[in-house]
Amino acid sequence: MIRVLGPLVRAVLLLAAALLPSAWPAGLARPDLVLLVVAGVALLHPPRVGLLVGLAGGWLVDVVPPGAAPLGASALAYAAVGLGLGAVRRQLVLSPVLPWLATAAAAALVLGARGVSAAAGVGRALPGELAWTLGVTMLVAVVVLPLVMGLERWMTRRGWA
Amino acid sequence: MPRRTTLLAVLLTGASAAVLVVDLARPGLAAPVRAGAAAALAPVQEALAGWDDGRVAELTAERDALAAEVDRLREQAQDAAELQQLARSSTVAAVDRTLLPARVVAFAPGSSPVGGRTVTIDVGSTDGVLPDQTVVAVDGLVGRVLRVAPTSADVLLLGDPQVVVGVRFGEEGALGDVQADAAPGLPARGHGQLTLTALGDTAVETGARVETLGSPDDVPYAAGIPLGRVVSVDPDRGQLGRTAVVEPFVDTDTLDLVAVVLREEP
Repeated sequence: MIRVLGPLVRAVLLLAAALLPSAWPAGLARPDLVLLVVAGVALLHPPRVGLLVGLAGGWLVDVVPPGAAPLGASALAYAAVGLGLGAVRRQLVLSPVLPWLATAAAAALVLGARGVSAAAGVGRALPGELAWTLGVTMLVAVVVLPLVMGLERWMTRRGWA
Repeated sequence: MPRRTTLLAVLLTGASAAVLVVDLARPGLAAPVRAGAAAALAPVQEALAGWDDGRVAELTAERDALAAEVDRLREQAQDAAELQQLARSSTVAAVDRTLLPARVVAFAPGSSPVGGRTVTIDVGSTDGVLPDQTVVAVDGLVGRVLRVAPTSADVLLLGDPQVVVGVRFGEEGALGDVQADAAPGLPARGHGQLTLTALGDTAVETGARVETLGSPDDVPYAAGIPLGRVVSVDPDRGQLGRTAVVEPFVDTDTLDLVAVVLREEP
């Protein structure tokens, strides 16, 4: 029964991450909070957990208004991030900077996919915007990533997750 | 336990991929999902975005309404003059619009794999908003309504690749269209800049004002709404129709208060 608490806390975190950009001032690049939550969880658990959290986060990105099209594309992208970070998590324990760098690489890949699809004529993304989003996300990650990972470690110790 | 989680993960990933394919094939099928999410989450977004509610919002809405009124009256005066000149009343749409003020409560995610330009506003079908209505701000055209939920609506912004607006430009009101993507071979566009393609042989001049052409029943764009200004004309590289760079009047990155153009019941 207590193992339900971990997924519940993660669901609340993801929902907050998907909704908080509404409170962000207009005109500033918005950090990708959902990716940071997915990364924070995925970096401490087996790949399948990262995959599930990534799917859930991506689905939220897809359906929280105004949403993204086509439905399911973000879900698969964030699931890939969760899977990838979960797979390399053991190599990242050497230095506390490595998880941050791995998250930066994951964020760059997700934004890269957006850039490539825009270059292929689907959607629109300008290089400057992508760079700003990546910069702001990684700046916010300095605070948010350790917080999420700390919470995950705490929940793991208590047997919640 | 891990086996079950792995199985669940694989199943859900497969389901997501299936939904992706279905949504690509039949884009309208997922509308109830989006409407449900909007009905549940838009109130939270409104609460989160409403940090400066009250007097400022009220005055800004009033100012927007007045500016729109001035635009409308100017439009009416111009229409009247043109009507007199042309004596062809059937070609010019009557200007009878009501504006419904709205606030932007959420922007499209900046990192979804396909980049779209949409925002959510805090009025919906209960306020009389319908899909494909025009959305304006104090400076000019913002976009059109894409989806409507009971208390919120998603707006497709000018600058989204799906948006193509029929326009009149210059003093003579030559015809053309404005869209985000430039044809291959043209100089790169700056942030937020759009491409005007002239219909026919009309010369495009830098500084020319671009306004919407309008469509029957104002769907999806009402006529005579200021859109932007021509900032440079592209070199002639054999493209069909002259092209130019248009700087829109409205910066869609910093949208706050907008208005939906409602049609008055006859």
